[in-house]
Amino acid sequence: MKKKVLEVKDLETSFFTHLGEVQAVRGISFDLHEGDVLGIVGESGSGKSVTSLSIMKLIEDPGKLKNGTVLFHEEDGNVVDFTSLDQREMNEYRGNDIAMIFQDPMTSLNPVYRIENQMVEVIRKHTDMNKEEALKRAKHLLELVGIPDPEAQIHDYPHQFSGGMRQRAMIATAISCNPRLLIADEPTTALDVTIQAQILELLRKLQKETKMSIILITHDLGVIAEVSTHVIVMYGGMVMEKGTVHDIFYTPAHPYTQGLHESIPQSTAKQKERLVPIAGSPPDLMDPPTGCPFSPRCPYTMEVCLEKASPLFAVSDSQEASCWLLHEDAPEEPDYEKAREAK
Amino acid sequence: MEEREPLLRVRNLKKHFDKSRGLFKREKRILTAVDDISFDIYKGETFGLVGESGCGKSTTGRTIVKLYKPTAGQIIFDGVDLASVPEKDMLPYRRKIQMIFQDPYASLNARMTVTDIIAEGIDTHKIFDDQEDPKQAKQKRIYELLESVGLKKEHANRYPHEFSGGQRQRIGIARALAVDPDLIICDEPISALDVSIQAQVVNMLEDFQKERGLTYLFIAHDLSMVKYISDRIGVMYIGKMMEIAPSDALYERPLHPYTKALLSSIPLPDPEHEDKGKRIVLEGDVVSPINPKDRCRFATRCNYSKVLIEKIEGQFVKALTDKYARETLLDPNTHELIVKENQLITEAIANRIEESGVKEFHINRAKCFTEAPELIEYEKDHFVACHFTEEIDKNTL
Repeated sequence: MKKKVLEVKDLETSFFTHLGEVQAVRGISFDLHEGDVLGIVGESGSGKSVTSLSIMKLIEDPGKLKNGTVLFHEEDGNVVDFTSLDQREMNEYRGNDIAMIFQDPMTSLNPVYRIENQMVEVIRKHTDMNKEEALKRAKHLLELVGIPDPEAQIHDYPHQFSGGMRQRAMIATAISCNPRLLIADEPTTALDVTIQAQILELLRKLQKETKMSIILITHDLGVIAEVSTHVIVMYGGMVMEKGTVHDIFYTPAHPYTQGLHESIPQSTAKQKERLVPIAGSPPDLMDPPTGCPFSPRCPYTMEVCLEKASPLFAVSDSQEASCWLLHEDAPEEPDYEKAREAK
Repeated sequence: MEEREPLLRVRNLKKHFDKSRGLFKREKRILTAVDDISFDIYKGETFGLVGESGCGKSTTGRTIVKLYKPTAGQIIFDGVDLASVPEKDMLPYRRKIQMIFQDPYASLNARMTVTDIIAEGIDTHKIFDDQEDPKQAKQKRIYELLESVGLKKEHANRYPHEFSGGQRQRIGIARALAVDPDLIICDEPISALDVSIQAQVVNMLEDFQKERGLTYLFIAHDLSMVKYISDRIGVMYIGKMMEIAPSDALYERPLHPYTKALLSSIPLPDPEHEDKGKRIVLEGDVVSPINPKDRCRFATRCNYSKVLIEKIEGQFVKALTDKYARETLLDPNTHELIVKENQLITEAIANRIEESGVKEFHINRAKCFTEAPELIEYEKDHFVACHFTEEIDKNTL
């Protein structure tokens, strides 16, 4: 049995704007084990990024972590609840144990400092290396992530790097203190597809060579399929389905997951099949639908779906989905027409 | 495809931007966004244009509608060369060629209602002016359009900010359709939309094509969607057309090394696909399109443009001399630089390479680095711009 790295329980995060409460994350729970790559997939506004920021305690005003625990298991078995720490205590874990990379590497690197200074600063802050040792480590890391000629390029400023190189430099900085967990929030979304392939290859390599666990947040099912071992599908701030990558791609149980698969062109299809879009549009998180967030768009909506959100039902040992159709009392052939009228 | 009557013929189109710097612009810097490309779009088809950011695909689209003035070349639309039509006479052609933009937030005027947005084109082109009651005819048309893009009559008097991204893109499509165009240039129309919404818009575009016999130029970087929607596809790289082929042929048998790498980079939504692990990962980054050298623009990243020279006693120095190095080599003992990438190997350097004890060394394939390849019809309807298409195809390189 692999060791646990992270346990998230009943996490709820809201943003209190002048227009009202935006419920970005509405009670999500999951476990992450050592060496796993957990893909969190969802559309814009599904709450996937807010989930990762909540884990890191990076939610700023007017946002608030309303409920839930984030248990981090340290290497020696010690368990800490991040939600009970203050920002100063949290800084002990950021960078050392958990590192994060973001979508846009230009805004996350400081434009007025050389790559060298930024990397050395991070390494020295988290280790007791001296300047020379830290510089040597930085060069080694740049080489590891595939920056050509790190000896010379380390002295460059971020704007002298291309988008792909910046993202590599970000990854190099993030892994500089051998974190137990790397959170990558849309790490390849801003990159071209050939550069994306290089970065995904790099993440795969790092995960294989170190024991590091990765949380990969993306809207791209293709990226998920490339690198993840486990997947969480989010919608309207809730978990719709979770399972191994195999479960989610070959035996999706939730109508939303199924809908996502049908709305993208199938790579294997020899003949052109018409795409099957999901009708309607994503929910307004200011006023989320009562019941299942997907119910207004779901082709199988029953009356119960409109009243109460479904809990997660086990589909197999590894797979769970929150859909009332999986309840033992769910009718074999529900009367969808009737429910649609009610809707 | 059967009739094969070209609606648009682009010939040797160039769009250069002057980015010169310094006093009196003494430092000449010409950005060759689109550099001598030619292609046809047939009536009723969807021609996909793909490539990475900065390859010139959007510039191509915008130059065709003359949002940019072409630097050189012809844009022959329905027999008329738009490049030589003066701006004041462009109006009738602007009606025939419409555009849908990527960003549904930026491309709709926030101060106009949906009615105003859609009516603008109708008014500009005076479409209903010969009717008895132009106002009513216009209103009727607007309602019809809204309905056909899946919106309601009630939406007509609302402002863009009241709509979601997908709905705004529908308004953009309604605006384009309002003037009955023949050709619609779709510049990344679905890139800003959520996955579940993309399919709605793509299906809608396909339905309109069938109903109205529209022709599309579909510009996108999402390769799986382009394959899905296009009949034929052109692949661009730094201002040049690398390959043009029917969509199935291109994906089943890409011939250009860049296309091969590009297609193999698509992350497949299928964890156990047979092609997993067969990825061609390119080295390096896209080179700058400013003052490009006269050579294949893909040469620096191409896996076929390098030649392996193995160390054979007495031959090594000779084989390396006067060639260009593909890789940087440091002395394994002293870490001193022996030769830099793309540097000419003199006899002295060749001797040092031999002395360094390496067993093999990569050099540049000369032709790729000295001559720009032409786009040639290698097989029927399959055009490739590579010096070694046949050799790579038959695996004899």
